[in-house]
Amino acid sequence: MIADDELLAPYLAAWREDSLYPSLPHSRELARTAMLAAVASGRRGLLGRALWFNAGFRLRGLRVRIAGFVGAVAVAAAVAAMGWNAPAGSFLHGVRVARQSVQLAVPGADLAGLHLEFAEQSLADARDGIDPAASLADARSELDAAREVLPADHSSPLWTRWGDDEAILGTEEAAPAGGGGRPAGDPAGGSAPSAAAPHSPSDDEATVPRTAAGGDGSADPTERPGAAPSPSSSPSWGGNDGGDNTPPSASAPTSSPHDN
Amino acid sequence: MGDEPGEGDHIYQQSVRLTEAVDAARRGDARGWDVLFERFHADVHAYALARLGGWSDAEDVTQETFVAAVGSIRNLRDGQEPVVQAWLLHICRHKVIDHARRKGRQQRTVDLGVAAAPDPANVAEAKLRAADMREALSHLKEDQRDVLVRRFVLDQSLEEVAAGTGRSVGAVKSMQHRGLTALRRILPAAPG
Repeated sequence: MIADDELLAPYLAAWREDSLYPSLPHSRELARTAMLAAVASGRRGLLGRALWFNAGFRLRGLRVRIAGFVGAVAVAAAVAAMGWNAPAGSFLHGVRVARQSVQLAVPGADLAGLHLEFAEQSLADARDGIDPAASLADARSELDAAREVLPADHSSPLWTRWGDDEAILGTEEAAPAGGGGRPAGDPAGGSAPSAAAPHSPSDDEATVPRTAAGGDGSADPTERPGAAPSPSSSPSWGGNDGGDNTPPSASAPTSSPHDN
Repeated sequence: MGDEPGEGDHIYQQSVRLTEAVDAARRGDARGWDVLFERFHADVHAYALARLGGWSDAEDVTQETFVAAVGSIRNLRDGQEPVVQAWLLHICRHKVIDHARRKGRQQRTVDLGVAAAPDPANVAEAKLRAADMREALSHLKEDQRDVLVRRFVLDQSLEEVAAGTGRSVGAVKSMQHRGLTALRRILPAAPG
């Protein structure tokens, strides 16, 4: 028994008596006040946490939406930038086509000029060796579209430009084929080399394409470079004009450099 | 339970009241906390004073214990008195350890500023013995100190200590034995 322990008993008794002495009333009330304050602040804290959770949830949702919007805009901008001039046959070529469609859809846009510009871009791609077949097809499509909207006035520089582009296209189309023939009605004539040659604006006075050189006089100025328009031909389409820019039937090509 | 029905009813009513108080405290009801404070303040204060010795330290730790209890009421398993007491003493024990760690090993002080006693000389002698006891306790293991406080200050039975500390009765008995043996070895060498 501890009570019989002469050494420990007095120590334990003194320790116990000293420890059981009651708290001072003032200290006791201070402890109670602190506890009740904690209870009150705990209730406020609970409410505050609940409000903060809701607000935080809403903020997080807003942040997610904003981040998603910004991310989508960034991705769209990146795709647009990468596909702005994506050559034919590339993954993002559709972006370039869409961009060109938008440019053409702008009211008051110079449609002929735009089609020629797009055709020249495709020709440049083909010359750079970027999927030549697809690029040339694009160029062909654009030049055909340009021809539909070229001004009635054949003295317009656009006609000259169109003729130049047609000549280049003819050259490019003929090159891979090693002098192969063009589709019927769209011959790659021997005028192509001259089309690529530099010329002065005065050359366009009669709206006769430079491809007319060496022609037999029966060609139409709107004919493909392979055609041989007559130097004396009128800017108008003659009997086949009608103001619709529809070219008369193309004459047979007289010669082609690729035929040599 | 006593033999007299009135006493049993009183204990039962106290038990129900305590359970309701715990439920109210869980809901953040100040009245529930007030009941817990009234019921267990003396135990917590005695535990802190037995461990720390200094009055101001014991008051601080007691206050910290009840404030901390507000935040950890969700850890209380049920509203039975031994469970609530064990829960509060568990918190108090950790507060004592934190307090001692904060203050570090301080010079032993004997607080004689307690209420006057009939014989100041006897009071001083008792105070010195209590201080020697606490000094000797500081050389024991934490678990042994905890068991000795519960057994010899709070007068808890071996079973109550076992339930309050989550140990078996045998383990508590063994800890008590080793603690007392260590005290016998230390106390004769203690000054005073």
